[in-house]
Amino acid sequence: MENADLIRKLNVKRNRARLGGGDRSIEAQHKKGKLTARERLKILLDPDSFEEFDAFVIHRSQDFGMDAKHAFGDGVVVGFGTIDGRIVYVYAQDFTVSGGSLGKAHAQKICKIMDMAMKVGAPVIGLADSGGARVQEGIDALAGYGDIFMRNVSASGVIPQISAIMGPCAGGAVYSPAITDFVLMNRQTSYMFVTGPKVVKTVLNEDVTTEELGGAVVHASRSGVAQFIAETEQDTLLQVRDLLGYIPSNNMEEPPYVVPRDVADRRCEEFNSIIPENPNTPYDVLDIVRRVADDNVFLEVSQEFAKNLVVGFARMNGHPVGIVANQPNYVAGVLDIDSSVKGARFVRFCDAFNIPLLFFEDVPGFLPGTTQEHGGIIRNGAKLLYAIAEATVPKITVILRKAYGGAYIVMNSRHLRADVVYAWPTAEIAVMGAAGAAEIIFRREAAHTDDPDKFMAEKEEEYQDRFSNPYRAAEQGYIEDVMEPATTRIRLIRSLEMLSGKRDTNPPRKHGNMPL
Amino acid sequence: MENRRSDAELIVFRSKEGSMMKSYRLKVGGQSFTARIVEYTETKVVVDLNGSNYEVELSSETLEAEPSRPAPAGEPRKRPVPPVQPSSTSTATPPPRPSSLTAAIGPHGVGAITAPIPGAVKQILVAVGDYVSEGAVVLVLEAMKMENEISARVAGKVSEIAVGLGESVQEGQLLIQIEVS
Repeated sequence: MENADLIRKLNVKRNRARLGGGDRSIEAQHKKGKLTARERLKILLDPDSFEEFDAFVIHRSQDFGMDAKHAFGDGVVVGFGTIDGRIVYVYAQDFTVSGGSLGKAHAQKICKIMDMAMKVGAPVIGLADSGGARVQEGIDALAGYGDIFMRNVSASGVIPQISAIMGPCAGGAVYSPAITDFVLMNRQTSYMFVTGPKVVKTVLNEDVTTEELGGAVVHASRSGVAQFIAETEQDTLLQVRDLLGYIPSNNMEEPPYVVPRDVADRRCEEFNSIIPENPNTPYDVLDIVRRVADDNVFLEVSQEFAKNLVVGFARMNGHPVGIVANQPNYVAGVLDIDSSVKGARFVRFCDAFNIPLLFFEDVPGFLPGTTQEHGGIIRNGAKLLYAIAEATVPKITVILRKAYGGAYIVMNSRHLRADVVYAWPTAEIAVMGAAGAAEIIFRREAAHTDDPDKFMAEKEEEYQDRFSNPYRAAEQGYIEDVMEPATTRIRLIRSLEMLSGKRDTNPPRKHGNMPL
Repeated sequence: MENRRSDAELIVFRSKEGSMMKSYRLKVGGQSFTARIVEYTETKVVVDLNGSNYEVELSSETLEAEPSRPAPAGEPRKRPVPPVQPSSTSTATPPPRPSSLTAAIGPHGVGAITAPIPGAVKQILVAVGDYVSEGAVVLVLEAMKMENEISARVAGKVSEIAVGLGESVQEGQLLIQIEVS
């Protein structure tokens, strides 16, 4: 055969491979408002950057007539490409081929690019759209999931792993995204659950729809499984690109620097009056977080889940930072079970990938009550404490207002190895609020006075003067400085530069024993 | 107890304005019952009637035909309820658990504003019949020494204020019901 014929033959085969499950399946996919695996990769990756591997792979299954059913690629498109010029490895499950079901060959393709990503030190991005295990392949399909999970775990904290759920993701399949660093879900077409509505109906006699059980809204707001939710497939994929902009390619790299457009010595005059005079009045901490950041841009993570603790990424003078902030605007900014777990996971991600942490603190304490205590606020709150104490990246705290009790210690205090702690003049660093403290100390004494109310008011004021300020802590050196709020951005950028060479370690050990 | 299945109209007396989850006195064909609301959504009510659970479907016609108005002080509020049907589950089983989505948006539907945290009602900023826009602050809940502003998640008409000034509320308790417009 002539070379030209061989090349023609290659092109015929390649075109067949690119068609996945064929025109009719592609049309069905489009009718559901969904894109195909290859269309998604086109949006996700830089133009013309995708290089596909294993397009000609077919399964070797012989049972249940599978030997007659072959499609090139076996239901998943894998390879590498670039996002903003940086190498990323990708796999995109192809629902048009056997419903994107996972068999042995399918899993091996995913494992191959994960192994490559680990060798090279580049992120892995998975686009999930799969009906689940390919039942005809029996235990080989399960083995495939196991092989992927093992690689997810090995890669955890070494290379970033991002999962975008573009369609169904059910059964064992959910545990791969669950291990990865970030899960994004498409509001219209994605769902995740361990067992579907049919099994729920059979086993528990509970009627529930797919969306109610594991839709994007549920996972973004209630379960906390998904960190991002987007309206369309395109938005979901563009969010992955956005997110990656803050993350280094592996744990040995610094996070990606971009030349800042914003100025480093920008004063934020509005900060001098942003804290309400009444200490019981809430305000939106996002007004502070956004204004402090370069170009006022803040990428919030888990926006709808545990809204009392805000976490997310921003840049300070071009360098990515992870921000953790109590949100007085939602349930007083208390720490509770959900917010502790949310914060702990975010802090550990940043620490694993060399992203400095900034804390903005206004916390009245841990949420009391039976719901929280019985739900395990002790062991869950401990997760946040553990994560912050263990983190060795630069850690800076700005105490905006309340820093009470145990929550003050947890929120990156000096005692948990904070590098720099600043306080605004509005800060109240104390065991508790003045009213509560006066109540405990002087209640008995007040009963013996002529006017107990007046006496208590005086004592409350006395406590307020003495303890509800940042100066007691400053006298002890627990905080580095009390600063004019307007200078916050300037001071933070200087401190981050000062800490850019920070090296700190934990004692050698197999691993710690975080209270999971 | 055959008359449970009767089509006789029920008259529901509220024992106290807005005291959801409290006992109600019912009259079915002249016979008196004590009922307790176990679950309340926009479309159905699960009623514990003398110890047995029943599902009462609220048809939308009924809701529209009888728009909620503030009850005159001191006068019990009346609301006709469609006939009681024994629920599909046996009377011995507990009421159906709220599904995940209703749990995500609260057991009272999207128009329900519930307490995100235990606390005390400090201010009520709307009245029944008011129209509110999405994000409007409707109530101030004092909790953790903070005056937490509770806002409407959807635009609509305030159809019910389920709590009184100074009342202590639990997490998830209905505060204000908004009829989505």
